[in-house]
Amino acid sequence: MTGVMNDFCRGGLRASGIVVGFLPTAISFGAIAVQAGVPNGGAIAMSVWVFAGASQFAAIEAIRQNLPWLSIVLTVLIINLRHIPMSLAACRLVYNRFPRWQRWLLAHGLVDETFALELSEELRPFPYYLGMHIACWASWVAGTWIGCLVGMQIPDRWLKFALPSLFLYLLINAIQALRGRAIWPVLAAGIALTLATSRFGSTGVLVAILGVAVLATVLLEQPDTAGEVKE
Amino acid sequence: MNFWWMVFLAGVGTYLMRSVGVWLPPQWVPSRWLAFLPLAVILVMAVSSLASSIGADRETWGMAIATVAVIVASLKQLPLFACIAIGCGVFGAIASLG
Repeated sequence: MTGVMNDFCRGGLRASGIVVGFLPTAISFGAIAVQAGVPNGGAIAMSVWVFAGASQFAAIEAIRQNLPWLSIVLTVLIINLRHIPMSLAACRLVYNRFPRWQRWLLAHGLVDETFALELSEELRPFPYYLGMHIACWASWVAGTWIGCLVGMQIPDRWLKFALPSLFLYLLINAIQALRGRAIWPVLAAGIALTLATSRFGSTGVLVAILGVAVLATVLLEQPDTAGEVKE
Repeated sequence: MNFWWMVFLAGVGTYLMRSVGVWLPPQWVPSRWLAFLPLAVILVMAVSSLASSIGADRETWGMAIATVAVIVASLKQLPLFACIAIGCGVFGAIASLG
């Protein structure tokens, strides 16, 4: 039991960088939702059940503009389409060792940040991933609640670079893991593709992710792992 | 259709997409490109999050210098939390100048 708790806490601690990045964003979401006329409970319910930042902001904007409900739901789903390839990869490469009920449980916490972190590490036991997912999810929900209560009064300047730092760290580790392969053309093309598609919002992100994956498949040899993180 | 139904349906749809790897038979999905998906997600999210940090002059400078600081910290193999603290500290300090 102690081992399970240790793994759970280690996963939660591992996610602390994500938590730091999530909090100001979630606080902003809560504040904007309340300003758009969404009840506190509604904003929190959205964070509990949908748990997808960009699509939640888009939904609030659509609500503010009084768009029809069907278009709001479709907007959320289109923005979240990138979770499909992420889920396929996570289940194939990481979660496939776990019983089905545990995979269903982990699926709810599969967001960009947890995906990137989990697939950059060596394989871990189920409680580790659960701790990571719950820490991220709880910080998102708590941040939303705080945002509903205090509005936009908390400056986010000092935490704004947390998530870019996380992804930069993971990118450097992934590059080091793939050293020796023709990684630089993939990086250059990936940066160009991401910038070129950035004007299309989340759809552009999805297109860029799939484009980089296809390009890497064509140009690179199969990696041994997704890119191990060295501690 | 009220707000609560909208939240419910958006959540169900998102969860079904997040769990597609659980309920879709693996033989239906080609596997080779999935091995490179983590690199793709990390690269795209890094670039797009950096691009979204560009704002006023001081923020742009802060982003550029914080990026270099995090890269150096990562290459020196500092732990993740230290890299994030360095990035946040450098960005926040430069963005707050003036």
